[in-house]
Amino acid sequence: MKTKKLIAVIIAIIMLVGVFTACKNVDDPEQPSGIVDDTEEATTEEQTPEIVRVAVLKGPTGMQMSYLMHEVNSGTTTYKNNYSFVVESAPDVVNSAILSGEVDIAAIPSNAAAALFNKTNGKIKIIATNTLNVLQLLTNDATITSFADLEGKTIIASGEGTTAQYVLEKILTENGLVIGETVNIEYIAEHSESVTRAMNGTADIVVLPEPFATQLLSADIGYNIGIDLNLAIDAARLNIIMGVYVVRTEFLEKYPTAVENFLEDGLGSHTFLTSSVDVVATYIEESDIMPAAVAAKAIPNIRFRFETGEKMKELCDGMFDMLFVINPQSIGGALPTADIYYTN
Amino acid sequence: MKKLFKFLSVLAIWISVWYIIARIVNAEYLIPYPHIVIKTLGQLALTGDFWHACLSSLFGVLCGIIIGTVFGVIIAVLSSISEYSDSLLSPLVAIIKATPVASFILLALIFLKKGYVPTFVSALIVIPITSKNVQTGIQNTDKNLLEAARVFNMNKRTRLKYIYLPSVLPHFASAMITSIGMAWKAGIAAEVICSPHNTIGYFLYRTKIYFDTPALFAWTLCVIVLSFIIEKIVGQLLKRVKNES
Repeated sequence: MKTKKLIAVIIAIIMLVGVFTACKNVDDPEQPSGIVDDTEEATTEEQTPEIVRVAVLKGPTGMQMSYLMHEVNSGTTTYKNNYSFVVESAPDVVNSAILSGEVDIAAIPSNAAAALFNKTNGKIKIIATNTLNVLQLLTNDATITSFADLEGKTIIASGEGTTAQYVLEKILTENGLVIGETVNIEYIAEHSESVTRAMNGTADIVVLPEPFATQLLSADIGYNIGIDLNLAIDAARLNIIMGVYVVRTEFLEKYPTAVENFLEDGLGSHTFLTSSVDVVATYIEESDIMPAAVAAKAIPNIRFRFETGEKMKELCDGMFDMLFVINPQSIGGALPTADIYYTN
Repeated sequence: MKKLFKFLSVLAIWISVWYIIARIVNAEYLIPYPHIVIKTLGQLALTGDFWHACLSSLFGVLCGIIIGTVFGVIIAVLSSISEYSDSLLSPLVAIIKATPVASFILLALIFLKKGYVPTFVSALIVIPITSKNVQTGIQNTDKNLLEAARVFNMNKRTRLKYIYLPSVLPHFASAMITSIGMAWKAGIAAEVICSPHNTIGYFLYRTKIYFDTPALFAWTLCVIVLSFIIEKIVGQLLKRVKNES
């Protein structure tokens, strides 16, 4: 009887270990290791990847790539890379997708990029920026036009614990307001919930990221941009990068040319976005990000910025420095080292 | 002594399994090593926030458990009055029992302030279990004793104290033991979704945002330990009450 029990326990342990190893293998064909360099160096001739999988969000990042996505899906232009795009609603899904190797390139929040780089010992690298600020301050109160008017008011905001919180609080403090004393911020769990609150009249001043800001503006219920946060950021000379593109370091090392191609194509998509707003708006609707009319209105309000190389490093460093002072944990506890950046 | 030895050896085996898995996975952001988690928990325990959070969460869920118990008993008593009241109340209880916790959390978030949701959800976990058990206890009261009570013209209070209570108490006790652990888990889940400030769930959620897996494990360990402690305390209390009656 006793031996039977022992055997049962041993089998249970073996099964448990087996399950975990098997799961790991399914997710990631190559064993993950803390060390970034593989023992076998890249062969002299570089292979081209079968497919380059890119993940973007239903928001400004998706908007920036919508031209590229359209061209790829309609086959109008042939690109050197064979792209496969996925547009996700939730940032978490994208974060886990890039970690597990489901996608090769992803658009994620800037602080998430730093945190992931730190926590995974360099499994991802930043290759380009995608947006500066994406927040807007909307209100149905026409008397609010400057930061002084916010004194004594309560702002409804969302995205606590993300760059949205830090950027908002930084802008407010730079303009002489004291959070909790001269101005109150109430944080809601979901951006969409903030929009709902505004719609049923329980939120007079809302700070929302795009595309929710434009969604509320388009609802036409009396909300307008109270204070243009983009201008405020310029005035305070703040260096804000809210979104970046990252690549899996493994992928980068295997296929550096493919990454270069993406940077080229991404820049092209970005340029087209800012130059032909109405056409891109239709592509945005095509990718199921938002209706074309809403997109056309939103694009001018969003500070898109596709930078690579040294300029990207400068912008991101500035952002990480700011975040490190506000909350080091948001970037993974320490400033990321310079090799977070791909500057070829 | 033998019990302690058995406990320690089992603990050692499972921690070794954890260690092996962490070694195989070799990624701290996925499965951290046991000693890293313990160290993180130790560091957390030095912060005031940690104890504040534990107390907040405990208080919230405990309130929910008490409220749920009271309502559970009320429903059980009402259901035992007549067949009709039983038919009236039992679908309500059945629905509460069958609804997924997540649905309650999301629904409650719409109506209540986020600080109250964990209490509400814990209460909802406790109600169906308590009402079912207490109702069974009431129904299983020895009919002979009740007959005797009628014969001897016992007043309501005496009947309650000496006949009903002893019959219901063991059922009540088992209801408490079952539901407390579940209520605690559900309460923490509610906290993670609602993020009321300075609760365990709030910090647990933050570990996700910061990709701080060791902290995630540490906070989870804290929840597990507190669960054992609560169940132990309540178990002892109930034993005490049982012995006195």
